[in-house]
Amino acid sequence: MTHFLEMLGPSLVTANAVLDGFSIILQLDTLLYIGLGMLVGMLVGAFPGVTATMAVALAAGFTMTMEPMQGLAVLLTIYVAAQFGDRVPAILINTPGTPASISTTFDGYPLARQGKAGLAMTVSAFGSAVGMLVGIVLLAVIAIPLARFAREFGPPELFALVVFGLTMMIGVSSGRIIKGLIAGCFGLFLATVGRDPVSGDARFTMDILELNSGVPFIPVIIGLFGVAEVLNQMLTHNKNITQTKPISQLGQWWPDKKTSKSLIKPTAVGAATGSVIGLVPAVGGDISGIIGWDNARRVSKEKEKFGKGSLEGLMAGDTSTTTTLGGSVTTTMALGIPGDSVMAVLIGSMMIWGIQPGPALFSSNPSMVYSLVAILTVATLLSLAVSLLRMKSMVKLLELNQAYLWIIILVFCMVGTYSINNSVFDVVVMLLMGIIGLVMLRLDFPAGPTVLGLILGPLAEANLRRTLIGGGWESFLSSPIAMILFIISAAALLFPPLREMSRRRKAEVGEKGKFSANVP
Amino acid sequence: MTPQDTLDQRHSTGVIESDDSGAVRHSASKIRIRESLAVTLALVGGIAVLIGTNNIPLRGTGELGPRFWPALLGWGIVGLSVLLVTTNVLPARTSQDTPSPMTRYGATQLILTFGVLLAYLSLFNVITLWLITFVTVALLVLLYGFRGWKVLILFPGIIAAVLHILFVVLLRVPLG
Repeated sequence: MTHFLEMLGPSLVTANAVLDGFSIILQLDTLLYIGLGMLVGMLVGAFPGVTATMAVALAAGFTMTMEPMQGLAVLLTIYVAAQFGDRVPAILINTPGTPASISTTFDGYPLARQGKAGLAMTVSAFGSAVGMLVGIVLLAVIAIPLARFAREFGPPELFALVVFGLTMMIGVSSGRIIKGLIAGCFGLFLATVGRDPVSGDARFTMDILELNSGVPFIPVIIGLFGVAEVLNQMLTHNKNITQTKPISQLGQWWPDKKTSKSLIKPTAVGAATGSVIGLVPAVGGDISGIIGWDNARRVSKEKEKFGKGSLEGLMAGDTSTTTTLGGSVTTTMALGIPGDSVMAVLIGSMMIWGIQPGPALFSSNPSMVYSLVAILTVATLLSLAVSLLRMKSMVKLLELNQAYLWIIILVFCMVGTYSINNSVFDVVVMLLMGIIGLVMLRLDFPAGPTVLGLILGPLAEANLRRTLIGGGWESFLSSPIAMILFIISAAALLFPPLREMSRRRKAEVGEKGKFSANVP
Repeated sequence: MTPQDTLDQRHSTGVIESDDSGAVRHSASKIRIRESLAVTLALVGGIAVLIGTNNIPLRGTGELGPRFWPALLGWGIVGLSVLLVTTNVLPARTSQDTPSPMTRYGATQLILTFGVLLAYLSLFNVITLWLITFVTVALLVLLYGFRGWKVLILFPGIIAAVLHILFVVLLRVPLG
């Protein structure tokens, strides 16, 4: 059938890929898995302290036995739904459910205090849905051309791409670039444990049989993102401090015609901001939301309302945050470079299923793009519908004591990790990484670059060695793509500290000026 | 303060301003101690990688053999640790994402929780999953200060049943 269609022309092949891809959502079991992922994601998002990364890492433990597309349906839906659920605590208790809803608190909570929590949650849900859908369109349009372009990459370009992905994730961790680099090197080192890919010699295995095949991904990810976070919450728990009571008066739910019209411009600004930021690997929705909010403020006629309960600000921030999803999935699948930490976890899962994200994936299997588009669209529409229905019950959930969540997460982490390979060793690795993750958290080392390093390590090492054996360091200089990627990477690392230095210098000059003006 | 200012000022020097409740305040000396600890750990890690690299067998693979990449990473970590001294320790600078302070109560809970979890792990494959899960959850519930039959019987019962159905019955994980 496919051969016949190929003879008819590329447009029919594309149509075939679209039909093949979309057929996934006609299967009842896929829809059930999307429903399951939606429920988990909503709950995860609604509980502050449980991040989408943590939830996807935990779920990865028990999606290993599923078919790859079904597993992807669960994990991607958790990611989508968490970005709806996390708006609830951001609006009702001024605490982001996940980092992606930081910008929601700027105007969401002030609106709730004005008795407009219902309206804020409705606007936020629509903003999030519009953002997701714009991102999904972006994925459908650019994923395959990007993958085809990247397929031409040789070892120098692939090594430069890994460096680019890692530095982008580190570059956005403002104020801790060196710690981010150390964390990234640590992840790259973890990836060297096991057999050398070229000579087959054992490296850092300490005569432990299980380490011959390398440090297992999923236990590391669950330890760093799940266990470490719970342990940190436990460590800082103060029994004398009571939990913040959520605002329970939700007020009006639906915006009137005039208000709806006024939200078109901030939605467009948010979507445009998120579309651009989403394509930068490793820059997540949290940063995009803040930038989208700020951009909407600049172009608004009611700038003064921003931060004090502006529906425009809320809409722009939430749209911008969720639009990044399309870009994140695109760079993850088409380049093999995770768009954010959730995507890093997703790559880990896919590799265990035997799927290697990267240029070859979409160009050889274009129907997969459309399967992802279908899953994400259904997940978005379902999450939007539930967001508009479930709000009052969510208020009750926010009153639940956090310690119950610790117990559920820890027990699920342990059994979930064991279930991947039926291995106690994996659980020990997870607990160990939980402790290492806790130390990293306390000392302000970001965990994202470590996971990224672990996942991209083999790709980085193999391509660097191949490049150097093939043509030496000059191979990088003769590749314009590699050079451009290196230059952007260097700029991402150097620009924030240079800007910080110039800001500090200006402040010092200002202080001196004030001092000399005061001297008679 | 605008969100952009918030982003810009995540990197501060010396004293971290207190939050609205006035809870978080770190002096320069405290920041130096914390950052020195970070440097020490990173430095020890980097040196350990370099020592470990020397134990990798070489079988005529030359410069670009199995030692090349780990050695590069080891030197990278050592170099970055030294750089961290000049950027964070000497000027007593840290990110404002400083985690909340530890509490004695929290630390005790953490150690006891770890003990309970290790005991739970040691009983995997020895006693049936639902039973050890029920006991573990009940112990943790007690540890976190909850009392009453609902939380001591009903909550552990639900968790044990969900885990048993999900992992043992549906996913067929060999956990009794």
